[in-house]
Amino acid sequence: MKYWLLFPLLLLFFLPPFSQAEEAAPQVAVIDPYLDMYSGPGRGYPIFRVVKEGEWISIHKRKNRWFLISTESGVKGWVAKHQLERTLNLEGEQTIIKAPGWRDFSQRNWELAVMVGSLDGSRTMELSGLYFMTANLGLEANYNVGLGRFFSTEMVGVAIQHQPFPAWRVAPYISLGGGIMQIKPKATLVKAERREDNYANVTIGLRSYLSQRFVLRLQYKEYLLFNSDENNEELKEWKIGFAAFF
Amino acid sequence: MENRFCCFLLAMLLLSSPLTLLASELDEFGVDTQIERREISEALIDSENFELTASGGIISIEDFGTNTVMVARLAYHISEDFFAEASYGKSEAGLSSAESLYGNIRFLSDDEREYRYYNLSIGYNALPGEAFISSGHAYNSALYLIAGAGITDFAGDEVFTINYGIGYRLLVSDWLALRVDSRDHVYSSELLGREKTVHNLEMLFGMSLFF
Repeated sequence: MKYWLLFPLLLLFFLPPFSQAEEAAPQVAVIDPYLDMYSGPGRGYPIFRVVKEGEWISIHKRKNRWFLISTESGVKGWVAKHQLERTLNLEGEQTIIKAPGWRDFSQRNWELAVMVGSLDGSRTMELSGLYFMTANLGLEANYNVGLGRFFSTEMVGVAIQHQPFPAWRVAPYISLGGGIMQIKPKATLVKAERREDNYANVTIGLRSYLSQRFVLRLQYKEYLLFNSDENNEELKEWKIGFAAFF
Repeated sequence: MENRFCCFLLAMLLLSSPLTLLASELDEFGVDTQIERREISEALIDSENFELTASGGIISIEDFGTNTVMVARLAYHISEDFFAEASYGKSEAGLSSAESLYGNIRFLSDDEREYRYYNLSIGYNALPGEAFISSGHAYNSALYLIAGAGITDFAGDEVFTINYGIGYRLLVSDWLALRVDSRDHVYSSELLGREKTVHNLEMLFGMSLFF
């Protein structure tokens, strides 16, 4: 219970530094006939003011595709990204706001994925991180939890992944890997014991670019479990999930 | 002579450069172009798409009474409509009715009475809006629907758990919000003999920071 005392401290750590942000607010001039200021960061909020062509505005913060700005007279409001791009900066160049997109996807280095699915009838969840060494080859580390009726499993593994067509919007991949699986019997089962085995696996999957930083992943995996009693076991698993890339 | 020629050339270059053209264009807007130059950088714009929440409330653990629960959440706002949120909650189960009726029996040890859950959910800001408090104040708010999956660690077992619920977020400022959450955690349990579907209802009050 006492760990909870640490939480408010953690929150304090994340408090935004007020003074700094105010000093450095970038300024731009409106080039469209007018710019709409919304009362909140969303399309449904009312437009309560317009900024006229030629007026300078300061940009303070961003929430997705909305920007908090202030006018020369100090009125604060939210502006949509596509309208903010119709401004000139102090250099006289048109403002460009970078948003992660398809181009970043093809040049990504890291991918972090969360997936859920079914492993021989039991629920399974996976958290994995992937580092691309080249456009085609990636190194993956993964952690799996399987929750079955009689057993729960925990797996830690590594894999090498190959994507033959990295430039496709829906691209297939294959991977080879291995790791350690821990099998824990349920508390309601009396006579079973906990065991630990090594495994090797082969995966085929599809990756589809969604938008921004997100990717949809669908995969099928086959495990070969090297049992301690020399009796190898095969397990089949499918999963679906999301990945974010950086 | 050569010097003058150089001056002339430089002056012409300066006059014909796009910079001067632009300066005159800006003058048309009535804008003072003699401002000290500063680079505009995206890094200067503080992006606030993450939300960290601390909540406290009550959870009713089926067959084991209603108890206090503490929850920590970290959300990433994908767009103005959707957010993804990871949660961790901790509570402690009380006595079941059988245990309290027959004072001397215990189904669970003290360790097994610890109730913890982890989940990952997707939220949808279904009803964004503004809340008016007195005549002079308007605060942004959103009523959201949320659902996800995760693990409940209770009574020595880990079980797959679905959660769904509804919540309300009131933004006191751009970076501080108050939240009210109600959730149902659903899983299948064989703890008391035969298998059944368990619903653990939860009611939470919390505060969150955007960063």
